[in-house]
Amino acid sequence: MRHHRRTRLGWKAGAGAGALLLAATACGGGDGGSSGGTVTLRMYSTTTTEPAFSVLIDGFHKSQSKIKVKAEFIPSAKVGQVTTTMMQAGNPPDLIVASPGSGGGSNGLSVHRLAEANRLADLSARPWATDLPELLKPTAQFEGKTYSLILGVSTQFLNYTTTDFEKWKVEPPKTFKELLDMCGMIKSKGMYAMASGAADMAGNRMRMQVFSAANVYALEPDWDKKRAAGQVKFQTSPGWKKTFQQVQDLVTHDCYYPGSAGRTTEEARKLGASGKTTMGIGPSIAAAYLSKANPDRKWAAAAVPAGDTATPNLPLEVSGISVAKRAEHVDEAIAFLDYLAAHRDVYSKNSGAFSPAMMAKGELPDFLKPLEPLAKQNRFSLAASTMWPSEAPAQVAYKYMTGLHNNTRTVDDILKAMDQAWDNGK
Amino acid sequence: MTERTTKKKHADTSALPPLVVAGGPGGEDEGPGAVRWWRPRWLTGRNSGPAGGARKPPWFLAMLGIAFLIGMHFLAPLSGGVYAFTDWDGFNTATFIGWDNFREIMDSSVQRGALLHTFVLAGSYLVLVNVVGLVLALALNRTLKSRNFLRMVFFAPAVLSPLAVSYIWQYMFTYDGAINRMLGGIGLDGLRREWLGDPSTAIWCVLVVMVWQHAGQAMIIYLAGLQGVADELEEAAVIDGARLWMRLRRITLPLLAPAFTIVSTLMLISGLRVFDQVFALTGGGPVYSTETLATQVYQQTFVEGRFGFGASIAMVMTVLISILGIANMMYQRSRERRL
Repeated sequence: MRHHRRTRLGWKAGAGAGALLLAATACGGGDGGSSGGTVTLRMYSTTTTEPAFSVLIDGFHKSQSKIKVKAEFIPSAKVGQVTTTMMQAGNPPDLIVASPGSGGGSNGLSVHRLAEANRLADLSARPWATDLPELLKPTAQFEGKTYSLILGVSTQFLNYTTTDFEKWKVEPPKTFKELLDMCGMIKSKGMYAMASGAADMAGNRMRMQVFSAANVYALEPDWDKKRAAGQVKFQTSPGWKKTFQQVQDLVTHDCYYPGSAGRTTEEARKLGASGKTTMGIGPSIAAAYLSKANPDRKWAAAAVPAGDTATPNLPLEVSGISVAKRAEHVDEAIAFLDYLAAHRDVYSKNSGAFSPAMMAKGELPDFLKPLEPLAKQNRFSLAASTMWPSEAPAQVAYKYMTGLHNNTRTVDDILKAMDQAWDNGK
Repeated sequence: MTERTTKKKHADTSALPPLVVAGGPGGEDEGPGAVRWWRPRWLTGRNSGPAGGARKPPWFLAMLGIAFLIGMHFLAPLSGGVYAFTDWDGFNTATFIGWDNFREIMDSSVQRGALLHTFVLAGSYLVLVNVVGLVLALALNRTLKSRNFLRMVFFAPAVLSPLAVSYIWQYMFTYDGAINRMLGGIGLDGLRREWLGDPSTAIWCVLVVMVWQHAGQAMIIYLAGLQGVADELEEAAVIDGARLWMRLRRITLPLLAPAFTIVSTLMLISGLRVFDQVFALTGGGPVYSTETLATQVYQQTFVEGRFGFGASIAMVMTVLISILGIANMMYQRSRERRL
């Protein structure tokens, strides 16, 4: 009898606990929402943007008390996954860190794709919406409307250690041939010129951007439009062929520290910081990492000597932020964007990027001053894939580029695979 | 026969007090003067017979749980499977495209490669993890002073996160990593290589990590199986002059058949859906040489935004796992019966 009572009591207790749990769940309402007149905005961004966004969010909180921003910083590849899943569940984050343009960028979420699916709020009425250099406008706009606040742009360049270069009494290379010759000279000193992380997307992406900016977009700024119109192909483009040929040449001239095909970009940077290599191709954020990791070695920037032209283009990777159309707090999210627009210099300073206003004036941050003559001449182009119809051709290229390091793929293999991916994704 | 075994086999239960069952005759609703309402047996859950029996909760109370189980485990994936027949990009309206996605899987060299790598990895993993797990179990079933410590050491990797384990192994496989340094240290410089950057070795590196992590798990299941092998049988065989290999073949292995069924089924399934180790070690590279169906589901769905195509690969993977898992289980069960 006692057992029977206990069983009944157990059922009642279980039912009660379940009811309480349901009630708690119903009242919780997730991460965002409103409480006591304060609105909380949600956003997900990459870990590399944390220093910049943290400063900006702190500043925003101090500037007013009604809106809070709760940001979570996760690996780049996860941002697209998390944001997409939340959107599909009808619970989008208020602020969406989507890649400006149509290609998808590093997180697979492109502004054009989301705008086409009617997932982003129209920001055309904001005062900052059209305040952009002409080159950047197509990345933020879709069918004439603005869907993204462009926070900043970053470029890839040649990092080199002044510590070693001054000791050897050499200058950074001015032409691609000089770069190849320098690889031999550096190897004779018991070091390698560069370390390549060809096993992941990031390293291959940087190399493709730098060499295509010099060999393709510096000569044919409208190449992407011609490809979309079917007038050109990767396989028949001398510029694209040269882009990957130069990567191959760096491999065959022993410019890279051995083991590139199985190494990640992060490991490659560690080799640079440890003094095993003297140069590297990367963004400002990589330069900052190198200086921090080993303060004894000083670094400086130079243009990557790719292509035949004396003035190569600087490839621009664009960062932006949008507002979800079906977000819980659209007006408050736009208010946060207004704040960000007025503080883009803070974003640039803390992310290694530079603002659209600086770009328009041809100014670059201190570390990139050696590249400023190029900026003054407006030698900028959007990074390859920014305005491609999808991310697929770039993804194929990144995967196949590893094959250049272990001799399992040729330049022609890459170009053919890219054409196939482009045509399949039309 | 030992005293302990004799007691176990001939335990006399007649002296035990009768089991008192709550809710049986004399329960609170059957006392003198109680109004006896007729309630059907399906509602009360009472066992058959006038004397009643063990009282169980009415079966309809399980309905909510069953509905939840079906909804979460079967309906959601099945309804998601519809997208395998569409070109859904995750945001826009999905268009029905019939079997096109499945045709693309068959036509694409990358997807065919992923299918092949999945089979190679799962098959090799199944064999190796069984062999290593069984050898460890047989070795540690002996009376060693340190056997409990060693069991813990070999089982420990199984409780670690596959991602964390794989990132550690990734450092060991790099050109300057522990493995190449060790080879250099013993004068085998010629064997140094880019383990994860060479398509001919990358997939085997993934396999090594998988086996290293899960051999301990197989070992534990085999050890549990070995506890059921009576010492008397071994002792009798020894008296009859059977050597070690004969005892292993004729006594131990046949009696381990149920454990083998469990290990092979679990390991086949985990081999077919391998993702973490590949993702962390090689990301599917170099040049697609370690792509599996699971990594392609992720790549197509979340990196390239082809949700429909990703769903079709996931469906192929599900069907394969179901067919091979069930076939393996049926084969092993029939083998058990034969033994």
